[in-house]
Amino acid sequence: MIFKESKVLILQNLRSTVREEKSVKKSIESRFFSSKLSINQDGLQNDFIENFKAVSGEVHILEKKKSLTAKINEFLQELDTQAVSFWRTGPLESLEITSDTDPASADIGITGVDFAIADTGTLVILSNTNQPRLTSLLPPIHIAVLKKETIVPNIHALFVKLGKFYQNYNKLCSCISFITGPSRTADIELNLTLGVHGPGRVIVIII
Amino acid sequence: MVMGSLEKGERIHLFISCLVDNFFPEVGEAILRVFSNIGLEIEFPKDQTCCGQPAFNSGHRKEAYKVACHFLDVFDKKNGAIVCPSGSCVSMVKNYYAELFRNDPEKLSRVEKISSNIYEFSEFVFQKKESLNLNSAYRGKVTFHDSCHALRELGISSQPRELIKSLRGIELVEMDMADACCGFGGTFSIKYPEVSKSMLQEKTDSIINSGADAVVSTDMGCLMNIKGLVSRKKLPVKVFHLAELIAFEYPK
Amino acid sequence: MITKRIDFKKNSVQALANPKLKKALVNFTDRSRASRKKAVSEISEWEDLRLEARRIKEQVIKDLDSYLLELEESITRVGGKVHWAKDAEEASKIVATIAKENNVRNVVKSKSMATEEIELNKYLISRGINTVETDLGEYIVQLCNDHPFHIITPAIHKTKEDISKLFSEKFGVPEYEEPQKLANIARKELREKFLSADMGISGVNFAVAETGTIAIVENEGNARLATTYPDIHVAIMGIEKIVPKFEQLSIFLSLLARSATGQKSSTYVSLITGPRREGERDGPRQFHLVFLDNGRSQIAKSEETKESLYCIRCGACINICPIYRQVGGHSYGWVYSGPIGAVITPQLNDLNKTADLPFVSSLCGACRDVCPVKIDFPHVFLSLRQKIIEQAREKPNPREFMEKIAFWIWGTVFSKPFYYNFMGKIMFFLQCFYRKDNELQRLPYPFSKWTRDKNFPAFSKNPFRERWKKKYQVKGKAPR
Ligand code: SF4
Repeated sequence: MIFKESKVLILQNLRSTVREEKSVKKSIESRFFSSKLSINQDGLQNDFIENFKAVSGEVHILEKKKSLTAKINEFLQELDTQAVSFWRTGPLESLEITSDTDPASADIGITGVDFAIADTGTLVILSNTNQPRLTSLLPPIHIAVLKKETIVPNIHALFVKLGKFYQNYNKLCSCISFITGPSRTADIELNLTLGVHGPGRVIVIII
Repeated sequence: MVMGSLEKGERIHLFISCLVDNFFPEVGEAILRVFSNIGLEIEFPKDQTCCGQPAFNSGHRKEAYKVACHFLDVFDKKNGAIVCPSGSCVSMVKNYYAELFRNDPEKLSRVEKISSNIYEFSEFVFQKKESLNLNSAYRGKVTFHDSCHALRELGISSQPRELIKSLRGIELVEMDMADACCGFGGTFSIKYPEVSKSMLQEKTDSIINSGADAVVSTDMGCLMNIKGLVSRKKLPVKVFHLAELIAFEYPK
Repeated sequence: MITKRIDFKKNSVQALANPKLKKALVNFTDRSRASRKKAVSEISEWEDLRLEARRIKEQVIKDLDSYLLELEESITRVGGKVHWAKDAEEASKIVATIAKENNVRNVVKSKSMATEEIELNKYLISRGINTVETDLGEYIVQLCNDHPFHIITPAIHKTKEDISKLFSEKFGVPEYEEPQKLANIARKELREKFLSADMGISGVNFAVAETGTIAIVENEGNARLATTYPDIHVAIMGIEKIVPKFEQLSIFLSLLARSATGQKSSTYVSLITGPRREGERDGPRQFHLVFLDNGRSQIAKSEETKESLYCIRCGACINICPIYRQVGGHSYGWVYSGPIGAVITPQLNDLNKTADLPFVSSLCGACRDVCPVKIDFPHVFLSLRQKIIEQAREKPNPREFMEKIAFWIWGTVFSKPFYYNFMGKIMFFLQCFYRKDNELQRLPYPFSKWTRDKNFPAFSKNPFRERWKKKYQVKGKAPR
């Protein structure tokens, strides 16, 4: 439905002189870097783990000799389910799991992670043909496989990274999801409750 | 004038504020005792009335303008600091006169001069504390209420507290939410008395719960409000302007 | 739109009479203030972020027209469709038409203040479209036919017991008391709604002009579901929500999470750029963005109050407000409450019907201190008050007339020292009828409103100016 006149009317109300392009500072990164941030990847990993646990997330570091498949199978055994929905990209490509369930009926969704933010404990996931959005959303448990080298210090650094990744944002994906721990609400007398819509458990495996 | 140091015979101009003038002259006298102890020469411009804030805050700009013009006439020829025992009046002159007189360039330049030269009592005395040598006769625990305008529009928070702490025989205990509004807000307390009362109730509760036997502040607006409930309910706490505490003496 | 005059006084008196409510409010404001304070103290660049956010917002509102056009272009480029709505009615019509054209029967909604503002639910439901709120708080509020109590936590006025009773009535489950169990029930009920929905409606926290990206911030995951599962996604944004550049989102996202709930980051942030792409397995096939004006372009024109549009709806001003703490959200009579409600409601509605609100502030300024975009609330309150008084001058009601006379007298007396002195004397004599122990305990109207609860000081027989003249003037010094 088109209200042609409305557009004209609104713009008329707002009419300003020539737009002033105040320079957007080249990099916001340097100005908004907290002094306390770690710079090396080990420090970032520790910060991430601390902050992710603080929001009720769970973190495991993949042991040197163990394969990812073995680790995930451990979880499946422990959780006693084979109803799994998972991505087949990156480190998950070689995953040897037989069943692949629709996310709406799966007990567990397994995804990769594109970036992570250390000082907020956030997973950043981009959508594309191989990385559907519902895998990290519908199942009650989300297992996320995170590569250590993709952890960045803070949100400002992340946006700088995204800027480089997308080169002027011409090809932004349809959805970038930030996930900071399990789904939560405080709507009932401010009591923290988990898993109200999204997953109630989010397990990160760092590789 | 150089802040922080005291020139011999430094002259200040007292803007007493209409509340102190009409309702709490003893506070004014306490201020005089503090100032003369510091060694200041005090001038009291006798035609002063009010800064115009009550009308300004209620939206009646015309009337505020009229009274503010009078304020300018009384004070703008003065050299030397203007000191006032109420943060909200000082803030009115410093922060809001510019808006009130924005269409009046001639007055605006006078406003500029005055606003750089007007001080709230506690910030002024704090600057001169080296020269202050007054032994308060008060003994006991006091708690400090931040008046909103002194705190948020003039940035005054540590000065009065430091002054209290420097008094011998007086202990400062902080109440919960010392910086919460007492509910006065000028005509707000008349327009919405029920809400205002509920805020005040919370304030007096935290005063009592602090265990202090007196509450001190720097603005007679807040203190008039607090005192109103304290004396109505006969609460076991005294209410002082900071000047009264510093210059406290037992009635002879 | 507001049809009846908002009577803040009546509403607030009602709220104050409810001790259960007071308890909930104290608990809520204490906790949210503390967690905000902690979150803010954790990052050293907080003030810089606020300054930068404010600067960006100033720029956006100043050139809003060209940013809106840029955003429209970007959205179109990524395959979405933009609709312009000048008011609530048009916005609702647009949504209903999209629904009708696509045979939509079931709609899931995530929390959005813009849709509350235009009462979209009512509109859609009355046209036979099932519309369900999916934010837990909003869902509870919708189930009891109530209105949200707070822009971030809509149901804080409901106790566990209220909710368990409600769920038991509606879904025939036992009366569980544990919040986790209640949340699980809601999850189950709402999951079915999601899976059968053909359209998801969301609000917008930020919209990036440069890329056509909208940011949606939440904790539950319902907004992700509503914007991913159904085939059609309709987002509704107030036209002020624009951020020029993609990377500037980092500033606003940090500010929002910390200010709103004291989290370092909200649990979910979705940056959505258009509908699903070729070959993708999920995400909506259609993406619509509705630009809602509804009075905003008028605010943008007002030099004095346009900063009200910088608001990012974090709720920090509400949580810190000592008045909200006493009376809660419903007293403000519309969608927005607390300081931001008191300034925005009158500007988005008929000022005559909302004239109570700009006076609902003691001008304490606590809101200004916490606002992430540094809205100078006292300044906006004062400008609105001036406007109201000046409008009322033309044809005042009796109360306004009295107030006008009172201030006229006040202005005359206080600008002439002679009258001023004289008034002191008269008052001193007049008050003898009311004086007791040097205080006034019962005054006539309108001061009776003061003396009902507390004493008023008596005019001194010897005001300071007299004492000065008698005792100190000569010496210019106090004794000793
Ligand atoms: S006015 Fe400021 S503090 Fe209040 S909700 Fe908006 S952004 Fe937050």
